[in-house]
Amino acid sequence: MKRKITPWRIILYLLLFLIVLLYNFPIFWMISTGFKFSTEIYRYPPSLLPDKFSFDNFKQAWLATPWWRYLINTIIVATVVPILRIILSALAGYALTFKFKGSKIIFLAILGTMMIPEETTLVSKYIIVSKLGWINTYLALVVPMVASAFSIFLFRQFFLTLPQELQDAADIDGCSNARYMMSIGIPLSKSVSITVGLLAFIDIWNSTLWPLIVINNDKLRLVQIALKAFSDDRGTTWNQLMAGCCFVTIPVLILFIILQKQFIESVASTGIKA
Amino acid sequence: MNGSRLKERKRFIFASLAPSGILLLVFSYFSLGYCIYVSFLKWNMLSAPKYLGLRNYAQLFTNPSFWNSLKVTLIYSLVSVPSCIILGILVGMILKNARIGRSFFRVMFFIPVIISMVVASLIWKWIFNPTQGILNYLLVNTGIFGAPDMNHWLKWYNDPNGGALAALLVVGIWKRIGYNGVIFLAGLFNIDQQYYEAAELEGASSFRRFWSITLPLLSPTTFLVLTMEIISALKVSVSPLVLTNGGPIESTNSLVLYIYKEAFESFRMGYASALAVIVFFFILILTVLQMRTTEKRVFYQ
Repeated sequence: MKRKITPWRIILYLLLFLIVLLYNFPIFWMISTGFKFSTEIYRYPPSLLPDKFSFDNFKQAWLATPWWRYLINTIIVATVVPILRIILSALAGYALTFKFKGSKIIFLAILGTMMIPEETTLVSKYIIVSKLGWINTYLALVVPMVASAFSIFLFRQFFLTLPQELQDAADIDGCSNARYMMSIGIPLSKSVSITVGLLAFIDIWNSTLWPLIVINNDKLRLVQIALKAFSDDRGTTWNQLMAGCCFVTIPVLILFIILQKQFIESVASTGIKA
Repeated sequence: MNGSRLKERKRFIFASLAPSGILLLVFSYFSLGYCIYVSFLKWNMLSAPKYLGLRNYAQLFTNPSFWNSLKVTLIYSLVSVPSCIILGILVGMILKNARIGRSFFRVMFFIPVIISMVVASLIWKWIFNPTQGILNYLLVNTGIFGAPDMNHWLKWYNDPNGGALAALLVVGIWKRIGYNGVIFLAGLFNIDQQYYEAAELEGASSFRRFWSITLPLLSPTTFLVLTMEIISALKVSVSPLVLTNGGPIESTNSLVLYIYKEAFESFRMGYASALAVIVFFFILILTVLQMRTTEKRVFYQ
């Protein structure tokens, strides 16, 4: 079916364009406010664009609190967790493609953890982690986040789609399971790994309640918590606050623009979850 | 395969499953069990715990704060869930029909999804700001809602009778539209094109086609999104924490925020755990209901 370009169609597209711009207005407003001087913030009516584009306010906000440290902290955790999660989930997912005694029960038990939302075990997990002496260490942020039933599920489903002949050939050649994973399994599962890694990255980058609870040492803070503290600290200097929001958002936004297709597909894949 | 190879495979399977298995066991099942156990205690984590039996639950059910936070969460869900679904279908339809620049529009609808909840809440807090926010400026100046009454509008977002909750709803819905839109888009692409071609031959109107083909055949996706939305609405916590801190007068104190405050501001671990157990059962019932219905298939041909 080929559609003609009619004036009606052009109007529709313009309308759609307008809706999309309006929908993203908050993002625009964050950036625009970040460029404004303090005097301009208090002006009424507010100006849509700053009088003068200058990075002075960003500079001030950047120097007001050690953002670079919080960003580095977050990047470390948001790199370590995805890598570990990919490795552990790939292994578990592969192991679950074999039939052995209890394999079905184990698989169901793993899937069952998806019915226990993180929010409901916040308190007991905190007590466990504090008994382990992990409060104010990254162990508290990394270890509970590493295993993920959904990631294991994704890997298992992927390994099941590989032809059985591959495994048989490896068995005949005397290739061990570990070697099979290293030389066949992992290289083939690139797209699943990217999905699992990105989902883990988003999880960590956006996690708020858990790091707020287990980390109260300022040096170890993650960026979302630092931003919350920054806002509690200077609730009314909105231009500084919006600049802070920009610092927290820009790294993810860049990653999103580079990997937008994988990003959207990964997040959409959570739709098959239930 | 000979015996030693089989043994090796067994060892490999065990070693591969152990790390994830143990972690999930500890941080999901054991955590949950421990949560139930702590819910029978009076414990501030400083002094020794004291066994209370079911008294935390009794206290909970007689505490107006609990009923309030339950009410807040339910009202939030009642507005947020249908809005997210309807707007999600709308965005899905828009994306499907936008033949030019579909990926551009998809990205634009997706940007709020990747913005963190803390950032989203802060931006909207600024937009909603009673004295300098741009929204109040627009509302006051255009006088959409009757005569501009400065005093009234400047305070709407501090209004405990729904105003503050409305602010949370805006943030929550804004952030989820794009996500649902992408999922509905995938669902729309799964519908066989033949149905539409047949309908077109018979001269069915586009509304008719939407109503009699798209909606029924989209029902598996809709049902999936429905459950995800309900669960996500029941867990709403970061936006009230950042935007309103549960106030004014507890009018945005959602269930999970209530758990957080009881546990980590008042250090009533037992009471907070009892709350968490209740929330867990809510979500469990919903999940089981969903799985039951999915088995029966919403989808009919």
